[in-house]
Amino acid sequence: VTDDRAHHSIATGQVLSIRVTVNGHAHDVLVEPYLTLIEFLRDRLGLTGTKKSCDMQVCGACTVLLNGRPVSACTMLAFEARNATLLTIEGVAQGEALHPLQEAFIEHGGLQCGFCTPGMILAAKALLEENPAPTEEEVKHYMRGNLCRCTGYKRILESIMVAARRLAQTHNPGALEA
Amino acid sequence: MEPSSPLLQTVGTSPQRLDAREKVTGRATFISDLRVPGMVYTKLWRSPLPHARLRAIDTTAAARAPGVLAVLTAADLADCDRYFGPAYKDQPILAIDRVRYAGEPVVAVVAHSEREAAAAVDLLEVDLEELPAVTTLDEALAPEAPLLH
Repeated sequence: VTDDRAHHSIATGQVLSIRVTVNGHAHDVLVEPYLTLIEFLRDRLGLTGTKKSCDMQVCGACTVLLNGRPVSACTMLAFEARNATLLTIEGVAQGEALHPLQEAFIEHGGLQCGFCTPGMILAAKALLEENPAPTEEEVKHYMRGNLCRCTGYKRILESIMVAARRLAQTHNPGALEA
Repeated sequence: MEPSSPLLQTVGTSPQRLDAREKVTGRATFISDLRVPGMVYTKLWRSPLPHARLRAIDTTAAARAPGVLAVLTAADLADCDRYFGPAYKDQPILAIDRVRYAGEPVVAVVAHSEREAAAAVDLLEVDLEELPAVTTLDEALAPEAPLLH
């Protein structure tokens, strides 16, 4: 649907037909113009790994990747994700094989209650795709939109730094010895 | 790190959380992830003022809003224990006559969906008479400080 069509639907309350790809699966769905992306993911697709916390784009718990970029699913409308490719926490591991970020968060205790973890991992994934060898300061700056209320930032930072080194090694073995 | 004594199996080690794998894959189930057949949703109207007398609550419009099943105030809890608390049961489930902190729940709206409950909360009319608020330790210790309980 075009923006004009979408605005018309909002005014009239009509449902919109959109296509969106989530974790590699294409979905052709009808969405109400007011349906938020997080409601679509959690309530329609049953992907409850995406967490709603502040519901006002402050805490980062609802972070998902839209065409590789982190967005807050709580304050984005589902129809705005039309024709986009989304990645949620459920799509980060390859089957039972965890992503290096997931492994590092487990090994280095980068989580306690775990509510902020899906958003943390997705934001960190976007960071490492953009900047594969970030400094600690760069990680802190990039992750400033993701809040943890168990005060686990030190271990989250450690987890991301370890994952970055492992990913770099996988992509370019021997680079770290140089 | 090796345990410092053969008697201590865990002290001095860094064990991994048993639930970490579920949490990093999004499979861990939190309260807000539960879906129970027939489940309904509650949203609260909370006091915007730290201290106030509850003059009147008009629930008429909220009760008629789409999807709404019930609108509850302290008056509706008269038949049960209206207080809760971990050590002293001195916290009203819903404010009774007075609110004692900003954010105190005053009215609960139950609806078929979260969206309908939230929309109905906006239709509530609560008349509050502001009372003096005590926001520092010194004010609270002053001899003329208002008593909350």
